[in-house]
Amino acid sequence: MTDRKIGVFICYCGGNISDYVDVEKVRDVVEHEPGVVVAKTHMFCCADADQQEMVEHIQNEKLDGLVVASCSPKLHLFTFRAMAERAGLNPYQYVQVNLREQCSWAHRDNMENATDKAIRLVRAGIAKTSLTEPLTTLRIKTTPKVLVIGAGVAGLSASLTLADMGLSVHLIDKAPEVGGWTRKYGKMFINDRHGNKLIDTLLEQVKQKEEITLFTNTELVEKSGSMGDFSVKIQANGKDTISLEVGAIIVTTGFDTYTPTEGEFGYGQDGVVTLPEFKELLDGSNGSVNYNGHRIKNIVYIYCVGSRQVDGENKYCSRYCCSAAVHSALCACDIDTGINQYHLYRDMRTYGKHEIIYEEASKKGSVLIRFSGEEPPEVETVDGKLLVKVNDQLAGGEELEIPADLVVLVTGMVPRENQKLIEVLKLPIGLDGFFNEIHPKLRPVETVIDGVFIAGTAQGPKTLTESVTSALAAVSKGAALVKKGYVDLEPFIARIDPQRCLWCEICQKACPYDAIEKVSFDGKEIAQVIKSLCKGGGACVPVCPEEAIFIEGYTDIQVKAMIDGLIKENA
Amino acid sequence: MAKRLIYTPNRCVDCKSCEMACSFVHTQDITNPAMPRIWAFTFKRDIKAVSVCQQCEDAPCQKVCPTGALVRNPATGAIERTDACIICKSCTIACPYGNIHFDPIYEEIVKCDFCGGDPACVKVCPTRALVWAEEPAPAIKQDAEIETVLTEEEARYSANRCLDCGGCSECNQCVIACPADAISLNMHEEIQTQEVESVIISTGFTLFDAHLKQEYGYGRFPNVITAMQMDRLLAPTRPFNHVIRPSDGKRPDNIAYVLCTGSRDHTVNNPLCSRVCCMYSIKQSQLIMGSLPLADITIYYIDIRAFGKGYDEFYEQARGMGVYFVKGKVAKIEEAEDGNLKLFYENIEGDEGTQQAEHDLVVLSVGLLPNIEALTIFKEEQLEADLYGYVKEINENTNPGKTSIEGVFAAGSVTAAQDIPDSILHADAAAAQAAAFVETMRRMNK
Repeated sequence: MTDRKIGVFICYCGGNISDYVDVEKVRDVVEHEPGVVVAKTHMFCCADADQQEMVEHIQNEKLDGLVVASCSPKLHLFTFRAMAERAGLNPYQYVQVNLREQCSWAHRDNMENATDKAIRLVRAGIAKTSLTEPLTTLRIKTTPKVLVIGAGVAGLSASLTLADMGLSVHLIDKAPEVGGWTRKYGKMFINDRHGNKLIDTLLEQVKQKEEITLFTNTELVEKSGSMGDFSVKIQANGKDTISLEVGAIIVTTGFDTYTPTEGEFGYGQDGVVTLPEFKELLDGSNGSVNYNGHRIKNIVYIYCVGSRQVDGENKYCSRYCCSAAVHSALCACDIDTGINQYHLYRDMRTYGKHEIIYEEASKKGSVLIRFSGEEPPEVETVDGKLLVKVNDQLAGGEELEIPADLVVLVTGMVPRENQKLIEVLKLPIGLDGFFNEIHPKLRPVETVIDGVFIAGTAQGPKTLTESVTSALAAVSKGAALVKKGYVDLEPFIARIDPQRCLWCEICQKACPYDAIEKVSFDGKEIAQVIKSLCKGGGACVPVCPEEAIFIEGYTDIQVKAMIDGLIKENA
Repeated sequence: MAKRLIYTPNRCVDCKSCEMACSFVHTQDITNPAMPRIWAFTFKRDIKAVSVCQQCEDAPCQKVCPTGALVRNPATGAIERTDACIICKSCTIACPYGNIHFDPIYEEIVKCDFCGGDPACVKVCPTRALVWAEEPAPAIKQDAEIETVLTEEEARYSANRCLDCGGCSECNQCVIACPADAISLNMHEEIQTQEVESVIISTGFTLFDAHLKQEYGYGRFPNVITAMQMDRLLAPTRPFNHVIRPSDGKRPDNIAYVLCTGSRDHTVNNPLCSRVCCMYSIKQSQLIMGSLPLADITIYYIDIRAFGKGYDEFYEQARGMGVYFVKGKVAKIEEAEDGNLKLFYENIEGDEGTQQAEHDLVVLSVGLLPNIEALTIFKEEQLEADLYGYVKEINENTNPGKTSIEGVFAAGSVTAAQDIPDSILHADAAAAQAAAFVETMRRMNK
């Protein structure tokens, strides 16, 4: 039997649990479990008054184990851990049992069995907590420096704000010049600012900041350490390697534009260009738009090239292209009012305030023709002239033939080829090929790799303003991490039993974080966990032939005791 | 002898069935049991009682009424409120029993009228604590039994002091009922002075008022609701366990969404796209499919603006689930006889031109408007606005959220309609710039 003093608190959740689970019965049964000295029910365990009552129990009965059976730990694990700590109980001797999402909500139709399941879940929680040991977090000192990878508009803006905060910044770009795609875009929506000038302004500001060190022709080649305290190696010009210590890494490596395949919407034929090519053409035009020495009279835009593909792999919308194309039409109109422009689109996604430029283009004579993704337009060259065929949905599917001097393929964004960086940082990739955030709403710039942030179009298609916004969001997260001075890491990491370990290397090979090293112990070689690198992933545990590794808080005996608790027959 | 409502206290179990029946009969509103004309109570743990109008012979309410709006119905003996009522509420104060009330929801004076001689409360009383019968004893003469609390003059004076401040009568019942002790009636406005080095404004947007789009009949046709109302019907803490339509509580099986209600629309003075409505409508359509698997859902749109990360995939998923998407702006909505609605629209994709469709519930996907109150937050200096009334970002390309006042940053949809991911990013960006601003100022002042 156990000599532990365990408190069990079961929550009604104002009916969310108690409507489907007989909470009082659960209490009556688990009250007699070994070690339980207090078993109570509460209307809302998370409410201040109820928490205070639990704190008093923990202190008065000198509890050394705590179970709160309430909602998902995703919601209130930290609430009750903090409560345990306030009461003087080690927070890692607290176990949360999920009676709501995993029991009451899931079994609304069967109160009897839901109650039985709840009893088993609480029993398992009691069994687990009775085998807990006090654990302490691992505190690491943070380095007040940030590595920014990619010196486009996002990377430059992020570096400037970091420098304003007093942080040192290493800004690297693998290209010989900063600015990325913005340099090539000429006038940009929505306020006609010129990309080249914008980058020049930012670069000038960067040069004036002594906190920022800019490396061009430079790539990241190695990374080790943990959040707050990374060691990285960067390589300039493919040879000179520099070692740096940084507390956070912001990845703003940007996008590539979609390159149509040969023949896709006539690409490859004379007079068929992509949107970036067209923008470059407009940027150099004055008085008239000329292509190959001919004055352009009729322009046909085909939208969604490389985006929202029905047959191809790019299912996503590239977000910026509708507004960019409409804005280009306005620019073309400014240069030569005599140009006829036809927009072949699917949905006009000039969202928010971009709607205004869409309206303006329409007022200035742009003709809008809607096609369905299943019936894309065709581009042909007839007698040396471009001809675009399309079924216009806005005119009952009527087939139109539009002669064109220039066909602009409104190409979207695709993820940049960056395999080396992905391998070094172990960055997660989403279904669309862009880097993936933890949560699009709650944690949009954080990745599963703590301390590594993503921003700008590396995370997904964005406009220039949106790229800068997300870059500054990453700055706020990165700066908050490194400026605090320290970071506490969860203690749920692997531990090795030196008596059992025979050093067979299997755990080292299984660890994706390189957190296991070989050391000498008592005249033999054994494995040792590097605490700052271990994430508690647990890949090492099942592969160990000697059962010499376990994860703190999830030991084999704890899990076995939980299973016993789950399968114990109810009296 | 006339029949009266006779009440036996020791039979009452305080089940409140009488209250429910009363409010249902008088409001014809299944959802509002809040204002009955009869009240059941439990006093001091175990004394159960109901309180209902005594229909006093020499009734103080009648006496105090300045317009003679309270008239006794000779057929039933009940004093009834007539249309002459000017809602001065004098009667509510004059009644010594507190049995005549002002209903803040329907904005009228309510009291028991014996349901015209067939009281609903009696029919539902499970213990026969309430009966409708000829009274054996003669009616109690009011003046002999009780003391009038206020004179007519005093009652009028007190009525005039009323501020009509809302429904709360500070009865404290909510404080007692709330299991989480979340209600306090003792909080006061507190004005604090804080010195800060930077300010972030995140006061959000205002919602388009669907009444303004008169041709859609919101407010006139009960089964035309806004998407915010639908969100409430679908929420995990929803009031009913199902999606139901307001007019009759029926589960709808043919729902229409009208996108761009109040957006991209010069007739209501808002040329902008609200950015969020396409996606929230698609989200709701998917949730409804889970809640009402057999219901048809049609979304009437101009353009589907599924532009964010994963959004277009989400849109395609809704199409795959069977949501109908019709390209066409709805011109007007009319009500059919059974509470259904007739939509007039142009089917732009087909060649059939203007068409009509009938739905049993219409959801208006209302748009976002600026919160112009944000502009005048600072006394000394007004924040610069853009052309549409949003807080202007003076350098939106490289300093998103930076406003015309130095050190003041705007976050989220106070600068433009934004969805949640963009609002969060915008807020984080504002935080970064505010922090950088503070640090820079401190360095300069050193």
